[in-house]
Amino acid sequence: MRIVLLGEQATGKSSLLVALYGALVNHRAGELQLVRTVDEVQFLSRGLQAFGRRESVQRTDLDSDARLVIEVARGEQIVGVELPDRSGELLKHMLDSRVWETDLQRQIGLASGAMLFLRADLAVPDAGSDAFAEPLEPAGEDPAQPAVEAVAWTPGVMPADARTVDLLQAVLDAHADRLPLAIILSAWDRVSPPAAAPAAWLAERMPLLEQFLGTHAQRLPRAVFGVSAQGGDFAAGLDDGLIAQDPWDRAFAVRPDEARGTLSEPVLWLLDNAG
Amino acid sequence: MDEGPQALDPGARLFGADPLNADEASGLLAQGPGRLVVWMGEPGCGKTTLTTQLYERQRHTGQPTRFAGSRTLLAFERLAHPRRPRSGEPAPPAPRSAIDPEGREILHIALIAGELRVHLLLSELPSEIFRQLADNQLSTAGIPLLRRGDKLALLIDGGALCDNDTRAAVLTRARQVIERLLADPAPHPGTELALVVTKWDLIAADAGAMAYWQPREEQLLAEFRRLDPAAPHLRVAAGAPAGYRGDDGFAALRSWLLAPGPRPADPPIAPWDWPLDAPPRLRRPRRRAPA
Repeated sequence: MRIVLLGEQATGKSSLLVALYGALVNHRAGELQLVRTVDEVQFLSRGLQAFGRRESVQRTDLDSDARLVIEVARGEQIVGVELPDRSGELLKHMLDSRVWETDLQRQIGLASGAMLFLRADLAVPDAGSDAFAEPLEPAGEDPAQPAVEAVAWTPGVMPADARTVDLLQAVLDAHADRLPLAIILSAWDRVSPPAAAPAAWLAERMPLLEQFLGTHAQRLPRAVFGVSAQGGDFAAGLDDGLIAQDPWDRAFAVRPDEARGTLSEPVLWLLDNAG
Repeated sequence: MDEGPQALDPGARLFGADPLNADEASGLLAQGPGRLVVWMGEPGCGKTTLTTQLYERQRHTGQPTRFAGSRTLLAFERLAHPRRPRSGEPAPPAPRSAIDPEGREILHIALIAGELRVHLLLSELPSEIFRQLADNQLSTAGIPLLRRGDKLALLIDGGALCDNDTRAAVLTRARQVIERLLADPAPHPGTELALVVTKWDLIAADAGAMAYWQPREEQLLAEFRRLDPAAPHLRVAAGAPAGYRGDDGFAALRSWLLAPGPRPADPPIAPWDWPLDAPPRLRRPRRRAPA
């Protein structure tokens, strides 16, 4: 099964891959059992070492082709899973330049499922990422005002909800078939105030995206997961209880039914829902 | 893992930040029910604000409609961006409506109300064309957009009604346009009309403006309904401040826009040319082809 990862920079893609690999290797992935690692995993090993030191995963240019290719067992079933980790910078460049990035286009065309990454700790209530809490100013309609460009607008200044809808509209154009979508709300441990249900968080914080997903449920069936790949905020410092735990025991995912599970939950859902 | 089939289109482009042209808008109408909406009114009456708000309000919770996509998402974003409050900076002016030399003047938003998915196609009659129509320098026959529009809204600038120096001119302009529409065989019988008073929050807060407007509103509405006896009269405060306690009228406006009209099917939108005598200063410079 090919799973395409969709997310801009620092949305938690690499952290999830590292933590998922750590959970699989250390038998903390619930129903999923690692059968075989297909590719080299230097990037993932280095990331796990960083998690052990309570440091975040840092990507380098050398990691541009990083991916996790494994065979996993679920009960009697053995499944190949490929998760290529593309740099979020490439996606940002694609959305800004308005030209498809060829490799991503190919991955989307081949994928039977997708993970969409959003930062749960950055979006503010009832808004995109731009604190849209007040009505719009009726700007620029005074006939005395000159016809000037207000600010240097680029696609790069769009709030996260609009950028994500923009991306998904492009995905719908590129992928003719149904594409199950596991939505990963990363840094879930840092959501303030704490939220119980990831889907409710999405509906409250990104209504435009949630409406769009709801109106394309046939083409993009989805489930929303809260994920903490690190298990806590390294910059703020972990409490002693978490420090004593291994990285794969600190990490967790909150399922759509609000139950806490392992990082394998989004993969399990995609396996269940891929055609 | 095998490579499988691929359908790559190297260099394929994503949707840009420009509005749609008539052909692209017609393509959307072929996919499902649509409404071509035409705002017309004086400069500064709120045409762009209404268009932008139809998108921007979907970014809030609790909307009666659901957002189902937009082929002009970036164009909406470009319009909304300078109007979003940010860190105390004054809102800079938005680009003024002008004639696009490539005919890209339609914004698109797909909304779902109940089970009904509707493609709203939003366009503005350029302010100068509106003035030329009012001044009888143009006939309605020279403005094909008026004949094809499914929903035609005449906007009355509520802000101008609060000003002793401008209120009479606003009223006169509205009556001139009504007279022009009555005189010519346009709009099309399938076109629905509405009289929309914008910036209603300003009138509601100004006793003098209210006293001026109320008796004239009834007269004007009666005159307007000679065009369309079923035309609604809407008071809209789309840009009202957060503390505004009155009905901002936006739900009623949106319901009118989404309601099905008398046309049994959506005919394509024919490309239109604005009259050749439109002042050159209205025309945006033609885009240069990318190098």
